[in-house]
This record gives sequence, C-alpha cells and structure tokens, in this order.
Amino acid sequence: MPRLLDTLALGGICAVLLLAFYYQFALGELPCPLCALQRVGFIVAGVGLVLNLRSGYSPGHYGLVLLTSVAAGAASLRQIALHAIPGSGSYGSALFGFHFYTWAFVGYGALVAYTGLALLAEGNRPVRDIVHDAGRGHGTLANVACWLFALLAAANMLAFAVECGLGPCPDNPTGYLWWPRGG
Amino acid sequence: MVMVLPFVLGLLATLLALSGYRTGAMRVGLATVVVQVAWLMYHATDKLAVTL
Repeated sequence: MPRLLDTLALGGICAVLLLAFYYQFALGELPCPLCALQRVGFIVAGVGLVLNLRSGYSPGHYGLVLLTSVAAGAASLRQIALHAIPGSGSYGSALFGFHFYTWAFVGYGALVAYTGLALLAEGNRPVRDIVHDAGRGHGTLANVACWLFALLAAANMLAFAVECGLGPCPDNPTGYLWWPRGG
Repeated sequence: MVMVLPFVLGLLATLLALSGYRTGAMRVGLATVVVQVAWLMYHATDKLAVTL
C-alpha cells in the first residue's frame, strides 16, 4: 500500500509538471525565477519518491521531500506576498480562481502532510515488512511513473536552459534566450 | 547565478535514483536543495511592501 501511495504521489507531481508545460508552451506563459524554484521543489520531491520506489522505503527519502517542500513552499509564499496587496497585479493565469504560485503552496502543504502520514504509517510497520517491500519488483505503474518523471525532469532542464541560457532568468521573461523569434 | 543548475542537479539525482545509486541520489538531491535555497536568497530577499 505505501508503494501504491508513493506511486500516486509521484503521478501527481508528474501531472503538476505536465500542466506547467502546457501553460508554458501551449499558452505561452514563461516561468519566472520564483516559478523555476517552485518547479525544482516538485522535481526534488519526486526524487525522494523515486528512491522509495526503486531502492525501498527510508525515512531519509521522505526527509528530502520535506526539505525541498519547505524551501519551494517559501518561494511560493514569497510570490503570494508579492501579489497580496490589491492592485499589485499577478503573474500568469489563474486556475479555478487561484494563480499557480498559490496552487504550488497548496501542493507543498499536501506533500508535507502526505510525508508526515507516510512516516507515521511506516513507523508503525514491522521492519521485516518494510525490508520485504524493498525487495519486491518495481511494478508496471511505478515504473511508468518513474520514467515519466525522469522525462519531465530532463524536459524541465532543457526548457530552462533554452529560456535562461547559463545565467539568471529575468524577473519578467518575455522570450527564450536560446530560441529567438524570427522577425 | 545559473538558473539551470538546480535542474541539472535534479535530473542527475533522478537518474541516480532510477539506477539504484541511493547514496549518490541522496547527496545530489541534498545539493539541489542547497542550491535551491541559495537561489531563493538571491531572488527573494529584497524588501516587500507588506507588513509581515
């Protein structure tokens, strides 16, 4: 059961990254530096879950998820604060009434809550069961989630390399540094 | 400040995790968080116009 939940959580992270790509490439909304740091958070959280699925459960893997969720949650909270004052505008589109930095903050809260519950659940299981789980096959669903996640992590790296090159991203990006539009 | 650096490290950690190199993936994952926090300090420490 914990493996299935970790797989579903990893699938949720993949869905978030896919949605971000849809808004970036289909709707032309370029991610800002704080948006980038929020995406990094989802990628590192995914690494913790991939480690659970491939190498077996460890509290250290969940520790990685927690650390990056706090860091990326701080980035999204900062962006919320930037636009909290009426009239200070917003960045990007809203989905169901909330902007993506707000949804990201909700997502990191959900990841922290999930990690806490998973640690509680695993902490009460006998060690022999956990070791047994670690030796089980990866499973088709877990494999698909892991490889899709790896593909998205690679695509994010390429997308940000094309957008920002080997330097910092501008606060309000208007185009891709390494993909100039033809005139 | 190289914005793509945490993505490079994140991808490396992912590939190490997929390949079963647990210790390597954890170390690179933690390095990614360190870079993530450093970049956050760079981008999010100017004064906000709100009372916190």
